[in-house]
Amino acid sequence: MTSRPSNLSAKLLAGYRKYDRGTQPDYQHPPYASTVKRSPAQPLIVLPTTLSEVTGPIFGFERIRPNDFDLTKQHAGEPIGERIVVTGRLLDGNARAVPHALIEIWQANAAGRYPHPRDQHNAPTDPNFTGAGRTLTDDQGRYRFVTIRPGEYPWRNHFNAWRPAHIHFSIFGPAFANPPRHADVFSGRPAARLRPHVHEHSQRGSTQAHGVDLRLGDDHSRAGTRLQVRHRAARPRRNPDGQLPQDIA
Amino acid sequence: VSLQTTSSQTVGPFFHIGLTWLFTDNLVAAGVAGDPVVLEGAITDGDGQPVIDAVVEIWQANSHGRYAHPEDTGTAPLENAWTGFGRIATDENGRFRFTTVKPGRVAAPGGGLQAPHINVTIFMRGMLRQLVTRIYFPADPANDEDPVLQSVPESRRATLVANADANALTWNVRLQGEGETVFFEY
Repeated sequence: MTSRPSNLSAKLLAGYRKYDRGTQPDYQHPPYASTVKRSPAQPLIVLPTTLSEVTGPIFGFERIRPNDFDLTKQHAGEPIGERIVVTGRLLDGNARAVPHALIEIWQANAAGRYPHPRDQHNAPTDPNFTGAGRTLTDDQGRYRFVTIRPGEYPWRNHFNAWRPAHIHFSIFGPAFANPPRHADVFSGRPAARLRPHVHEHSQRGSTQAHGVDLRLGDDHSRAGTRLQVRHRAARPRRNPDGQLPQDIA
Repeated sequence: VSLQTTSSQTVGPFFHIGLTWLFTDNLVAAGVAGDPVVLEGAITDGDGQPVIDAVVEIWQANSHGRYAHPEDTGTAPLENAWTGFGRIATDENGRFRFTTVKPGRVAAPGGGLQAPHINVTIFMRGMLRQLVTRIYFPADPANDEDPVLQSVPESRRATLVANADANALTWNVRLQGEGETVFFEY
């Protein structure tokens, strides 16, 4: 059933750069209570960089519908809430654009309620807002979503715990598991600093320095974000349309 | 220019809203070579409790040992119907299930071949960075020469190898504690 590749290339693949110290959270972070039993106790084992670590799914535009980037136009009526544009670029550590990357987002409605059976918050749902979007970055790594400003909502981590307004991002970088696969974009309101799973390092480190922060502009309509994925010394080959090169398709 | 990587965050409890659209539990489309294999298991936490709000994603080569990605410049056949990507959430019992094929061997660094394996990433509420691991296949002689599997202490290696049951391969994930699954970083 298996066959051996005929060209057993002995080339060594470029590895990933180490994270800058203090920019990534620990698995075990007791102030965020749910991490305590869901974090490995054994040390992680360092993987060599093989073909399995530098490849990943390639998504085409055929899976993305025209309104997927605009969360205010996915239903018959207008959703309640303040319209915002969330836009930015996906860059690697050398500030090079990551084109044709799939970015998925999800968020609460203006009242801080998710349309999810496990959300018990007594805020109202909005029949015209389901809070999910997706897009592919363009040739310059840019992405753009139109949505409404999400509301804060309570959670059960500690007494009177409220999660600041945020939008969840899932990002496919150039490879399957090239972290970070998930990031949150925050409102920048003070509540973000009280949030135990905003790791202290990410507050004073990359959150501030790299604008992973939903900044409302003077016109209260735009939010700028910049998202970074880890880079390797060499980048995968891609055609401008993000498809497999002809010679191997 | 050198930029820091964006800080990772948890997907939280409501990820279904944003991630369900891409759920793919069957990788074996028409025209894909190889015998379909059911791969199933459960995720449990440090108390042995099922994790009912996790996402499991897999990425693998096709049965010929070729990734559908331009970085794989090998000459094993590509298949138009093969993507090699799967995503599913755990159910109310912490279980997940994929239908796929056993991948062929892909190149190892410095020459040679890796044993057939499936790359796995797992994320959930209560996890601030995704976990990365691998699934190897039972009773495959290539496991003995796989550079990644052999880099794992022998006492923990079995956590990366699926078990062959009558109708499926089973591979369970223990996040913490006795029999803790091996997780990787790179």
